[in-house]
Amino acid sequence: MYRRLLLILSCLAFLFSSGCALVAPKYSASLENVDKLKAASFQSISVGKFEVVPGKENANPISLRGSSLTSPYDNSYATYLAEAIKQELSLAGKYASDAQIEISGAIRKNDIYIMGLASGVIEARFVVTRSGKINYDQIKVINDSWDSSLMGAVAIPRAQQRYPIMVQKLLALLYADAAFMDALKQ
Amino acid sequence: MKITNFAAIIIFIALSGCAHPMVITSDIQALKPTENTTRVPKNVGLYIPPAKQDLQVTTPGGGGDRVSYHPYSDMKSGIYKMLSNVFMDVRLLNSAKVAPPNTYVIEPEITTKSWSSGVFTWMATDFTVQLTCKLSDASGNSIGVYSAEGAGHAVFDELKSDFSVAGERASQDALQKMQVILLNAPELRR
Repeated sequence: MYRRLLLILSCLAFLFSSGCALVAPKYSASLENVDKLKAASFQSISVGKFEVVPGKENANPISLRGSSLTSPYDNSYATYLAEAIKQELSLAGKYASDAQIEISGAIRKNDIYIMGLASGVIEARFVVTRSGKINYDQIKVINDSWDSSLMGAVAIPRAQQRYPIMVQKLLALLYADAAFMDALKQ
Repeated sequence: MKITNFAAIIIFIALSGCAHPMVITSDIQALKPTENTTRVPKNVGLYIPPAKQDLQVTTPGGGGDRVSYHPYSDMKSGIYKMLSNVFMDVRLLNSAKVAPPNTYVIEPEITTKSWSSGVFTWMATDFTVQLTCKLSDASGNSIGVYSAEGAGHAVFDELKSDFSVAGERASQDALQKMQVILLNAPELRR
């Protein structure tokens, strides 16, 4: 009798947590971030290369209860971060691919955990250079958390949709740094 | 209680009453300015009332399940991008009453429908997004009301990796249509 119950529960567990290859939503700019960039008094900025620092918490793909979450930009979360900055600068009217001041960097931590409480971390290094001279070089990190669910069919899509919000929060933290905004003016 | 009854209850609890999260964001990079058309020589302020900003909507998905999403927060940056393709400058307003002179105020209204041809999966295979933009001048006088309906369809193979793709396509379609409507409205250029 219990073997039968175990079989049914196993089937249910499979049904609600079976592995899928998922793609994170494309970045959608935070308008609060865009307004902040728009209001700042700097000229056009370019976005250079973002690299990946290999590490235990720098997942690619991100594992979500057996499903995998990849980046929609060249399968790279470093490129995702670069595209996010580019998108917000473009919407603020302050992006130019040939601008002398450039933002580049590296992604150091990047992971989401949904086995218990849902949480995520992104840590990145941001570097601002003007004609090769470094004006800013700092590390920013956000630790995010949100409501999850026992059901994979709720917890997994919720985590998938959280990724762009985590990036929005990381960029909001970066733009709130007066030293970063000053470096863009120099 | 028989073991089969117990299992049936578990299955019922697991499958019923559940609204699966999804998004209806659009691909901002794909929202390009319309070629060979000049922008409307006006600035606009985008105003989304606080009650709408985090509004959550639940509509039908597949297999008797439902999908839930936040239409205004999902589409906000897409609307902003579309407006920046139409007007000279766009600002986000915290109140419809603080618009500078010579600025139009735009308040969007979004209604959605979804359904699915799938029986065994929860994702919506079809979506419609009705986007209505109410335009007024800085004094609050109505300039016009413009409406566009976007539709999005997705097949199971696409929904496997992106649960939201039908909704994303519908919002993209609505924004592209709205861009054309606003660019071709002569009263906005007066």
